[in-house]
Amino acid sequence: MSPPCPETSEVEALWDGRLGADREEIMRTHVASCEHCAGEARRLETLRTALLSLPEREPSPPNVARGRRLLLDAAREATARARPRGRALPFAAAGVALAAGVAFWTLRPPALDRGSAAASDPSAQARSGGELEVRVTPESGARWSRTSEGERELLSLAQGKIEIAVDRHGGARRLAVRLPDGELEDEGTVFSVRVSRERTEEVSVSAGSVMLRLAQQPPRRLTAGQTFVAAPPATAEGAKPAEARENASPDSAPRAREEPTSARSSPRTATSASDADACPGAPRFEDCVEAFKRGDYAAAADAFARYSASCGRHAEDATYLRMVSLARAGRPTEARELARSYLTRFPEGFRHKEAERLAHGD
Amino acid sequence: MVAELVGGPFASTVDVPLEGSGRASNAVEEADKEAMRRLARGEIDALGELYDRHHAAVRRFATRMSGSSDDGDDIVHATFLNALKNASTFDLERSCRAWLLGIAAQLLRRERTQGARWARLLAAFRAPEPAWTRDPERALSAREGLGQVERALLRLPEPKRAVLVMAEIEGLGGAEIAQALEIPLNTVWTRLHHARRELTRALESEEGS
Repeated sequence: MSPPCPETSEVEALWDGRLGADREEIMRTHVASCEHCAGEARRLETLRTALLSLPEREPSPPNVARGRRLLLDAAREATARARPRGRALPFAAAGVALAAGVAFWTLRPPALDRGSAAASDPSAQARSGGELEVRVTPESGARWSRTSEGERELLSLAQGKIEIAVDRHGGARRLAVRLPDGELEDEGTVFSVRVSRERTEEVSVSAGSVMLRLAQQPPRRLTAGQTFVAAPPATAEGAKPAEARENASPDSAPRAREEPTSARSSPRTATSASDADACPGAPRFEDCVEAFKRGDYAAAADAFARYSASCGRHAEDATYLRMVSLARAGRPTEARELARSYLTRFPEGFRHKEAERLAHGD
Repeated sequence: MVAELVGGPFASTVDVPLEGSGRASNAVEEADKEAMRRLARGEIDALGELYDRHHAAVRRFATRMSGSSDDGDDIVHATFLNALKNASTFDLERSCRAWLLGIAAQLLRRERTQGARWARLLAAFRAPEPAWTRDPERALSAREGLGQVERALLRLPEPKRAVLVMAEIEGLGGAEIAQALEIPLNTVWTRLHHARRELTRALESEEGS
């Protein structure tokens, strides 16, 4: 074994192209004849080979095309929204706006004031530090307020519905909406949120994305075109709550019912304590998941099958987990069949990629 | 530089098997510059061109950084929308792909921070997340589906992982990485050196055990 070579520390610099031309040439010659340096070079090469050989799970061409389309739609919407703000609002336009009952105002930094917005303040535009531009359009009856907290602009919504458009112009300032039962963080977007009876009833995203965090529920990211609608609160049998009637309208159908739609379905279904009571005769969804987590995949597959047969809630999750359970229970044919069924029922489903892999026998 | 070395003293079996990885060609860089000019003027079609050229690299970077291909689509979408917003401030002398990867790195970092904030929020509500609401499939596949190298890569601290992935998988040069991650060039080399050592050690110890 030859003694360690003092030049070995330079092999990495050679590999990264950090040496000057002269030194590089000397090192190239040296590496060719030095056992230690050649070994170091081989280690670097092996590492790169390993990293470049990592398997890639490429999205299918239709998924890429869908991603492109969604991106360009969101970009066009964002650009259309941003365009008028680049110029001073012409008096004529302002006149039209005022005639239509719309009012604008600008809040300038440090803006710790309460930009409150009771029902009589139909619309507000807040600009913060040149970094964050926020437009709030409350519906009649909405109760909300605005404060700053460190680098965050905070809107607190107590009741009613507001529509919010946010443009970030660099910098660290961010916008969050405090809700009675959680928080919503903007990621540069247009969205609306409705609160009633101390709970978040609906969040609808038109462009960009938001992160919704509600108490006792997993966080969920909503992107353009997605709507979160809370599950109806538990009530005595037969007594339909007002929220349920409201949600019955076509454009605000509760996503918790998980009907396949043309839009991308909700990342996670809304959950509530009433789940167990909502589908009489069905096993509890939690119990099905427990079987899955225990690794009792045969039992889990059967439980999810019984659940799906008797209950329309969590349809996408139940189908997907049943499909995985079948695969792990050594029933690949049934798993593949269910994966194909999943792709048909939930063409924009969140587990689309995994279902595709399973359907094609990967 | 990387390409020269691969064919130089380390002439070896190293290929560049990933389509789209490695340094962008001059033609691509020129096309990117033109697309960025158009994007800064508000021509949305230019965003589609950039998406076509770079979505695979951004998705691959996000997947390598997060260990989950599920997050790739969201990060790609957010990265390109962010590029639209910042097109007017883009320095045309910079590599567009490195810039996009830098945006993706920022978004991934923010996601991680938000996850931590969510945990704090839950604690504040004194209502732990019910176990069954966690996505068991994602958690399982995160552990089971990954190979040895992926697992070792994910165990690297995020700053070192970002530098390593950009250098070794995406083929960016030190200066490009420094610009993308907004860190000094020497920090790039230091992180890269330690990342390589830690990853090599992790792989050797896994092989030994």
